[in-house]
Amino acid sequence: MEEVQVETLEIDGKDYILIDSLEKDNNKYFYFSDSQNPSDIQILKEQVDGEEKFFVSLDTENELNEALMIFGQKYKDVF
Amino acid sequence: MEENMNRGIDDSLVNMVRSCRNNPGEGLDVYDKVRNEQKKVKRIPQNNMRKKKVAKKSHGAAKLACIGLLVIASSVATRLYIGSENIANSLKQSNAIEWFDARYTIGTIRNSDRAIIDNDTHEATNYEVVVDKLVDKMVVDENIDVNKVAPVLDKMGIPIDEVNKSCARMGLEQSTFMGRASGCWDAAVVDVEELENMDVKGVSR
Repeated sequence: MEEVQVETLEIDGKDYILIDSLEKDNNKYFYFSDSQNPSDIQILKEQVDGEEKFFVSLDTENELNEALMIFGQKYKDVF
Repeated sequence: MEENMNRGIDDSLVNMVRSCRNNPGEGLDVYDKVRNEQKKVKRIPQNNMRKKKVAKKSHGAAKLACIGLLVIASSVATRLYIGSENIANSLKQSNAIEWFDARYTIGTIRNSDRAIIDNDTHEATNYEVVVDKLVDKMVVDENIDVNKVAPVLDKMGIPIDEVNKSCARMGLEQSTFMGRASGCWDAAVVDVEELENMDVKGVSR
């Protein structure tokens, strides 16, 4: 069976696979999906604190919309 | 279909994505699911990420399903967010409707729960009250024909039926609206001049 390497992050005890990361206006967004349930999607953004980098939630619904829109823009021709 | 199969994309997913792009009413359930299931993550160090090997085929299918759902949610987000922003900006630029600065009008408009989210407080506001405010402001304060109001509100996500109900509540008659404003949500920039030049008949107030 052919295998591929992915990056995962544990959120609330569940393993999420990194699907993609995109940048807009100095924000970097990360798109994860539950390894067992692809419809469970988490979108986080990068927070830099000194030399450390963290994942944090998006601040508002508008920011979620923006993160979704740049994703849709990138993948608009896939379907 | 064959082309999609070769790319590993499920045909029903392709149809669903395309349908959502073409039909403004679709995809809200997907958008809501993505929005509602966002977890509150305070700070997870990025070095907590782990590398893992998974079966290529099943991962590819799951990844595409996720991308498809995100594209659907994205098209809804575009309609909800960019659509109302563009309309607001377009109306502002025309100086036709200064009240668009009011906090309700640039907020995210959501058909799904029949409420409008206040841009400042992020609280849901009674849908009917806000529609009445919008119609009242446009028709009464700005003296814009009610038939020209309807397509603008329609593009903002407020169905024509709701505009009609609002007109009825306020004693305004909207008798000749000639169908929904054409064009898709993705290109929801309202040409105010065009709206003002529309042939409107039989409007009485």
